[in-house]
Amino acid sequence: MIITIIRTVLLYASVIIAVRLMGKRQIGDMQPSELVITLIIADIASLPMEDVSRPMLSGLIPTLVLVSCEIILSVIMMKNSKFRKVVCGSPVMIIEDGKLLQDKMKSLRITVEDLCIQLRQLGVFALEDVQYCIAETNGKISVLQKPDKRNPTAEDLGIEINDSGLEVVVISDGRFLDTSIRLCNTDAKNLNKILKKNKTTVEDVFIMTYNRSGKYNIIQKQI
Amino acid sequence: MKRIYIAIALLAISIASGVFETVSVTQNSQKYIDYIDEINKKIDDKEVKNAAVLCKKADEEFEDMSKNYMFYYYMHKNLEEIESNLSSMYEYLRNDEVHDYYATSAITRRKLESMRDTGSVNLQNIL
Repeated sequence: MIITIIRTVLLYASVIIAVRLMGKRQIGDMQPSELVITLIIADIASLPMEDVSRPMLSGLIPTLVLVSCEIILSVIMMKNSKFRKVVCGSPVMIIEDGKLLQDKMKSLRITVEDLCIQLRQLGVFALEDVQYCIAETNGKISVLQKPDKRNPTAEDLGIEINDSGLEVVVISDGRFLDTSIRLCNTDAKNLNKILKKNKTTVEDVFIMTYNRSGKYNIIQKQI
Repeated sequence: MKRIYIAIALLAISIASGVFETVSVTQNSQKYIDYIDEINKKIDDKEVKNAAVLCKKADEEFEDMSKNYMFYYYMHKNLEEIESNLSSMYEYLRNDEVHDYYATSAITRRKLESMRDTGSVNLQNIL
């Protein structure tokens, strides 16, 4: 059993490395080829885990080959749009100028019910509100509502909104987060000053957020 | 772009491992098939004692080799089976039980052939 545990840990590490090498996409954002590769890797890695008689290389080598092929394929896709079209397909317009393109829906095997479900998930509850709807290559749909149904922007309303920049977590669980601090153009010295003003120390802070305009929020640790 | 270099490196490692298996391990399997053929020949020539010595040598060499790197590539239970068969073959020869030896050696030879052929690149294996 110890051997199984050691093998499981090693194969787990190799799968994590493989998935990290493949990139940061979420399951829902995966292209068909990426989803297939992720499923195959999971299956291949599990075989030497459960059968100790099987050499570990029989799990590791196919995983390495699959990940390498996936990375090489994605680089080729990046450089060559025709190749990308062959592997991933291309986005398909389902609704054009408010008109439902039934032949396209048939070719994609999408029913009106499926379309309505996806539209509702995007906050669109009436089919007639949609001006354009595109089925993307990762299986999701993108929607543009008719002009009179869209939410007005600040530009539409002629309002000027101050850019407060990105609000980021600069202290988490009593520790400064250097990358986030750099993002909001400040430094630990300035944050320490703010903490001193609020009569607290970095060790006592659970979360502190900060943005470029200097607005901050401090949540102290519960004792 | 760093990832593409890592991917190419990983692919190169995988291919190197595959080539090593095909060339080295396949050749070694053939070596033990040749050992068995030679032992059989010695038995046919009524040199059972010499055949036993050769069988012992083959058994020891196989054990060393399987401990060194064969287990990276082959099902461990198959290696153990060949190892124990080679030991049995030696014992049969030592006790002059030639019929039993032939039965075990045929099985062992078949397994070694299977090991050799599994690694070779041909359409049958690919399909």
